[in-house]
Amino acid sequence: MADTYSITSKFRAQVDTTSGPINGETYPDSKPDRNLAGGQSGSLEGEYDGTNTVSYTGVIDTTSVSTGTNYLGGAFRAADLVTVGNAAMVTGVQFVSFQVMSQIGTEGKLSIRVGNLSSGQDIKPLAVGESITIPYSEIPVNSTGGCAAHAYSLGVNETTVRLIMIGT
Amino acid sequence: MANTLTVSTSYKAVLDTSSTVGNQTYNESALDQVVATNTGLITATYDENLASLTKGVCCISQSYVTPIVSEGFWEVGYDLVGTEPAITDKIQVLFVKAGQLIGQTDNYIGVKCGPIVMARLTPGQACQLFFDETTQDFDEITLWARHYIDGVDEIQCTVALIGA
Repeated sequence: MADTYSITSKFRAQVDTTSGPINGETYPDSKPDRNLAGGQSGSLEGEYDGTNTVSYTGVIDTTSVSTGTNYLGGAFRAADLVTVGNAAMVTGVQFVSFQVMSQIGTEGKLSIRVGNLSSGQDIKPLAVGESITIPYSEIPVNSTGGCAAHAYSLGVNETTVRLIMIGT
Repeated sequence: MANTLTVSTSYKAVLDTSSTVGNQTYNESALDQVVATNTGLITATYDENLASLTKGVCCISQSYVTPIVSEGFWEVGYDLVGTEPAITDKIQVLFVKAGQLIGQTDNYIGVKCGPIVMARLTPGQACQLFFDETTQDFDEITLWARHYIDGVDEIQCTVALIGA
């Protein structure tokens, strides 16, 4: 046996088929987008090393992705960061997962960038309650990218995030 | 109302908790308590005129990584439904699934964001990326097949693209 993971990806696309007005009334409706077969799904599975995983839970105090500290615990406020697992993992990253757990103030969305912190690719910013899993093909931690909460202010605007990394 | 997208990228990690007692090994597994699971749910809106589903053979080999929407990416005979976004558009959702192969059995579909390899998909595997539709360019997202020789080494691919 081995330690195994699976990432399930799926999307559902609904087109607005609202009709009307008919006799002065509008009938709101939506249907699966036929061009996309209503949506797609599938999974990516593999093996990982159960001793090479880490979970960070805390407040993001990095305010700019381009000056962030990758997906390391350094993106979080150190004073109340909860770390479980191997915080020293450096390579073999197979996926990173973000979950925006709560906010106070007017923090806005969590920004996420893949790859180079200055010129990498921007992932969909996450609002409270949203989460995403980003696959990687066994790359070093310091190549994965960065995240930021732009309006962070101690005790005023704070975003609490749970960040997971697993590797080989 | 508007066209709506519900996008989910969830994971599950299962730890091998097998143990050996005496001369017997007892195979067992359990949900990894460090990383556990995540539902990965996001909702958004989209434009039905910038969405496509394409099935065919990727004829770009490892040496010639190119954007998905570039000319020559698909082998002649691919099946396109909808309207493929242009290379100058912004991308929102990329869904890729690798299908059947012929020829070399270690073939895969590679997925890159800029220089970063996100996944190597063997037949039956799929991945999805959800980008910031206000900033992310199509031409920075690339796919390739590890091996491609027309009629000899081929791997099928399904790609759903939703632009912005």
